[in-house]
Amino acid sequence: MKRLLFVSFLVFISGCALLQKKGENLQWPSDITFLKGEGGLDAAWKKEHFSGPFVVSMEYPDRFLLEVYGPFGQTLIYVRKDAGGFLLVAGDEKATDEAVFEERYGFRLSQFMSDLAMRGHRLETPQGWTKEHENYRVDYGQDGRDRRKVCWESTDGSICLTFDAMNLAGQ
Amino acid sequence: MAKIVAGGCGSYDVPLLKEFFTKALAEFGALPAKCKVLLKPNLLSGKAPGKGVNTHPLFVRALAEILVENGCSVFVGDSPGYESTEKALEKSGIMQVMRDLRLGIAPFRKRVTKVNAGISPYRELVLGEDPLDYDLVLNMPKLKTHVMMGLTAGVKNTFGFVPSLDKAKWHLRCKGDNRLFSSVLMDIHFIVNPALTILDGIVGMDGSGPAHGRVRDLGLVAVSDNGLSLDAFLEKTLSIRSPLPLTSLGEEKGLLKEATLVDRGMPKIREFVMPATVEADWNLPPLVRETLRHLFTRKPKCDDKKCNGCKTCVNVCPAGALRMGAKGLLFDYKACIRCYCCHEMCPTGAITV
Repeated sequence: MKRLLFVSFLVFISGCALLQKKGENLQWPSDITFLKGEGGLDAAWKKEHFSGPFVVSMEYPDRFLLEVYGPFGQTLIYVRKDAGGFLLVAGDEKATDEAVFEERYGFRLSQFMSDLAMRGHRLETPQGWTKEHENYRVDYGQDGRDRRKVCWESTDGSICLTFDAMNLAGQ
Repeated sequence: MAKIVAGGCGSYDVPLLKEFFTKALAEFGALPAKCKVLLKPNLLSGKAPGKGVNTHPLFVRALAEILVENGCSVFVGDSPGYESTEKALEKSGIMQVMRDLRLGIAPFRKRVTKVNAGISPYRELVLGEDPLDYDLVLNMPKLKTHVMMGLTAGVKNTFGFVPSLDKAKWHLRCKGDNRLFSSVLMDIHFIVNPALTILDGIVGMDGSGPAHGRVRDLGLVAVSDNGLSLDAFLEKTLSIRSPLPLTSLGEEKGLLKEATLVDRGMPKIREFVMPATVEADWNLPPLVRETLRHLFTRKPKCDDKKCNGCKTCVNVCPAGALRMGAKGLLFDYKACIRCYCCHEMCPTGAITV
């Protein structure tokens, strides 16, 4: 009987330990105008599969800069939009026509900027927030290290930005 | 998404290895010229290359030659378990490579405090070398089993950044809690942030690794930009039944990235034997596991015939559970936290589990 009670106690304790603790979700700002950030980008989108550190700088809706680096510090992707125009550099490919961005990723740069700036209607979820588009969805949450994470999800794959640092000081 | 380039190499033939590395590195972009690179092999102790304990010197040579030819200044270092870095480099055969190619030594004897914002509860970590002193850190683990963690590969190898005897303190802090220890290992790995992890699995070790297991010709070389994804890939490749503590925690915390595999003729590895200690670790919560530990988990034992009385085990035991008695080594199993450091560091293989 004692053994049975002991085993039951162990099973009970094991069961309790398996219960998920509800962590606190990070608060997300809305209607961001100024954003500077850095972190890691993971992309598995259409034929592109890469990951690496990134820096992003945005002054919504006029200026945007995103640069993603490879393991040796080389630039994998460079996207810039400002008064001087648009520039996309990805490997050997270079484009100054903003339409190339849409062809490549399936959404316009202005949509991408709007998503990043937390503009438009979004719904609260247990993990954070979500924003639905016709062809894709944007999830705003956090990873296991409590870093802000934004993911663009569609049938083409996913692109995730995980922020080590985010500065909205311009606001 | 992470990338893994894996292929087969039957021997440590330097020209063949250089050819493999050149193609594999190209998958991750062009190597920067004139960069300052730190190579971090597995240098557990000063064992000869044939023992399968350390990253093979010819493996280090092949990569270092490519970097030197590219105009880079290359440094090699690690913090071994109990010896000096120089002594372990000498005995392992890596020092000769360093002399031939005029590579620098990183002795890993600094005390660099890093603020940690990772998944472990510890907010400060002290490293023996600052990864930020280098343009690139290239992590070069050996494919081996590990009696506590199951495998020592991508993530575990960067634990070598912790200065020598501080490693034992971490074992004591974590008290054999694989999950907590995994969180520390992962935080250290993220701070070190190696550009690439380049695995020496040509000759590896299974059974009771990482120091006294069975030396095996596995013929595997793998390169990845993500150490944790590489570890998960190895678990699949070696047909390990259940996820090991590191990958299990990485998956739970959303840190384990999917990886694309570039297969350059991977060998088929059969009957890779895991340590018996891992078979007896049921991923139970700490309270239950502690209760059952004394009943079921393997206790380290000493083979008096093999023991040379060097007291290395006594000195490295983080829990102070060992002492040398008049008739040989004495274990205090109540104090023992089952980190198996004694087994790992014993120079004669006298400690068994």
